[in-house]
Amino acid sequence: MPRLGYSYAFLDPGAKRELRRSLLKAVALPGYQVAYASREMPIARGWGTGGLQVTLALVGPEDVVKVMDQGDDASVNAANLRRFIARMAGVKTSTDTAQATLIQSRHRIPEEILGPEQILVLQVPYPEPLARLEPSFAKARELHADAEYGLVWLSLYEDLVRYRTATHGADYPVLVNGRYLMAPSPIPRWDNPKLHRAQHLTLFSAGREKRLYAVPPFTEVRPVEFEDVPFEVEDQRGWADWQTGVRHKFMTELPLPDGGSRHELSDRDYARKRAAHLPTQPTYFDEEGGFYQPGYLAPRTPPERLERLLQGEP
Amino acid sequence: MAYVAARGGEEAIQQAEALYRRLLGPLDAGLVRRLEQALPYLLDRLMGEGSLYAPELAALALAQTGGDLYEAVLLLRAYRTTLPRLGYAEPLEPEALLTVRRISAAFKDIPGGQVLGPTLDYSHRLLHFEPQEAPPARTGAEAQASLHLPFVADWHRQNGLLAPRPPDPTPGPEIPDLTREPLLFPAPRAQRLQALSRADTGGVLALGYANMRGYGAIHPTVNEVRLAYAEVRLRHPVTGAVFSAGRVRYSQAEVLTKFRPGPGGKPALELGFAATLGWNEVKLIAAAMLDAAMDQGEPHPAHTEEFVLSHTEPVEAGGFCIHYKLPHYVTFLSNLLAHQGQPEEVEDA
Amino acid sequence: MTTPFLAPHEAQDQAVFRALLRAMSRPGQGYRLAPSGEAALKAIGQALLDLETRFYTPDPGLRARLSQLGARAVGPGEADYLFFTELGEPAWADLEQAPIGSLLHPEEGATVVALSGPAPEAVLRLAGPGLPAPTLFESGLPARFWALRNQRVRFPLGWDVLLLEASGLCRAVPRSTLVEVT
Repeated sequence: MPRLGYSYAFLDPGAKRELRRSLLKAVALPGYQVAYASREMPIARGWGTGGLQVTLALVGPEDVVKVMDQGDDASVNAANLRRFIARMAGVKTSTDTAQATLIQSRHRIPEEILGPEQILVLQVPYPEPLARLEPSFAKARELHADAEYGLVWLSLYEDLVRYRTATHGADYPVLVNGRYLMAPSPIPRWDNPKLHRAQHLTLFSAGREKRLYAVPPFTEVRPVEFEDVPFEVEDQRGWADWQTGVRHKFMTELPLPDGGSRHELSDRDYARKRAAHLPTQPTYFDEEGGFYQPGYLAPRTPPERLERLLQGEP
Repeated sequence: MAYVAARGGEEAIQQAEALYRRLLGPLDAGLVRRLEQALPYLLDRLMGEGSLYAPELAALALAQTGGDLYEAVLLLRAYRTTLPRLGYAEPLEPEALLTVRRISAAFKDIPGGQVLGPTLDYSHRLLHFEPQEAPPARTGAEAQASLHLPFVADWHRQNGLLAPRPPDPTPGPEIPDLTREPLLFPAPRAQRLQALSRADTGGVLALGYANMRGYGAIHPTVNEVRLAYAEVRLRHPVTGAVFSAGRVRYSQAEVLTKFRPGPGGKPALELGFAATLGWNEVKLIAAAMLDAAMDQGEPHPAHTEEFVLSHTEPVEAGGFCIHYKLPHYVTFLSNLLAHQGQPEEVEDA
Repeated sequence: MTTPFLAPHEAQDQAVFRALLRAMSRPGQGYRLAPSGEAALKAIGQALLDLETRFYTPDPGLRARLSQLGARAVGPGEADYLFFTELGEPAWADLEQAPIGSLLHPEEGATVVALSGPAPEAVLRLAGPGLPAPTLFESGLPARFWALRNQRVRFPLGWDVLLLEASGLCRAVPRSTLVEVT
């Protein structure tokens, strides 16, 4: 007859062990996609089941868990995942980035610098950074084996020739530890630099595609770029949060009935603290937009210079 | 330390679920029992795709989801994945099958005979507006068909038209298990057949039909379609004796490709095969054809193992499709800004 | 619904795993496992091994105990995990055979778990992912072990090392670490 009751953190011990073995290998192979069985979860596939499995394989009674979606802890799916983790693992939850030991997130990395003991779990829809150029995972695996990534730079070059800009928005591919091309999950380009030589461990997991991978602390993470046309984050230099006036953090755009729009901090818990004048942690981008690791983000290429470069002039 | 709680979202999702349940009405054991009795073919499809043979749980899943099949399959799968593996069943041989229907399109008559069994194939598809009594059981048939019918493919094998059957694998961990190991391509045949067995009926039909219409070159013949009750036979861990743990509704299909040059240049047939829990003929015929097509190595997607198996997985395909309802405003904005190049100053608060 | 029960052995597995994950993320840094010595080897086995894994150990007592987890005892050339209670002459040949994975599947490279001697035997300079800057590390394993390790590691191929010290500290040297024997 049907069994009532579930294992701690839902996953049975065998499923946890498989995930844990795979996670340790993923950390030893920064940026490499480790295939795992990926059990069905009581949440629809494609709704964060990969991140959820990793969180459940990690979580213990001492953890404090934060879950956010698009930067917002109150987003309905984030609320549902958090409710499930708390119900199955009996852990405390918090929206405060600074208080959390485990942070599961979809599409964002918090604005406040994560500490060395925090672990970030990112939900991944498309783990394969080559999928746009090679839809077969079997063939993409061979390209990774040979570190054959020329196509990716070629595609960036074609973008520059055709559109005078890299058209890749979120999920901008990066090279990890100088070896593996990796999809950073659909975080905005604004969040890409936060992975580079970060103090914390980031784990990525795609439940539907059954792949997980890792960026350990202090690991080189470089965007696909040309030396003379460097990678650029979203240009929101002129934007400010409509409630707090804060600038130089990632904003979302809210359309207004008159056809205009206003802007709002995407990291809602950071916004809450700023609005209430509560203490915050140091952020990856300072109040003037400077990145905390000087020199990592090169100055933007002026359009005239890009034009000259494309004409073959130095 | 005080922890900051989230507001808003949690209340909203609880109310939304409550509204869904209110519209669905009460759920009790009687409803579950009636569904189980009235809808065996729907339950079969559900149990096949859920890869969990448990009619009462399948009926419960139907009741709980109001008949939303993808949700019901997910319920069964999510429950199944929490169950421990208690043992490995012995391979199914014809003598372990109580076959109630077994037909072949390849021959007029076959050893054991064409057994029509229960089917609507030759019914007039008319809605019955009057109440229907179940017809009485027919008695006094002159000859009773045997319940243990040989596999038609074994006849071809005896006659050298098909490669001999590979030796049965030893039941146990050496058989790669799709639910415990990732599916990588090219997949071991065991995993391929497992994936087809729990594939989405509609998805398999769409790709199989594409193949039948000409996006493929196998022109298959249905060698047999079989509906049966299968004994699930287990080996006793201490005594080693094989015993039956119960019966499940089971179906399988064999299709034959056209003759191709085999080993040694002699023309030979190849076999496509599919089997599933429950009785689901449409899915099996399409799946067996796809199984045969996948070995042909032709460029059409319906010939490619990775394409077919990745895109006919009901829980993944259904879940990913509906995930587009989730907010994507960060990625949307990021893409917008990438295409706008340098945006002008919009406002300055 | 109440929270599912966390059995003591599951709680230990979770704690051991989190320590291993920390250790793997920060090569050379010590993280405490609740048990120490041979008990720590067993605890790692319990946290990671089951029916789906293959292991090797030359130690018959440990082999018997790890087999009870359902894991299959195999030769060193097929093992996912190799456990050594001591690293002496006979271990070199075993380690020569330990799987290093393939370019298509580098994760098939083995994990080597070894008890480390009480006294420092080699000074290593570690660099790479997980290390903010190159770091010196006094290893209780002989220089010969590290030379062999370096010979077998061609990132992404190679094996990953977990060292267990008598004090109960666990340290990791994944294959992504550049190890220089000074």
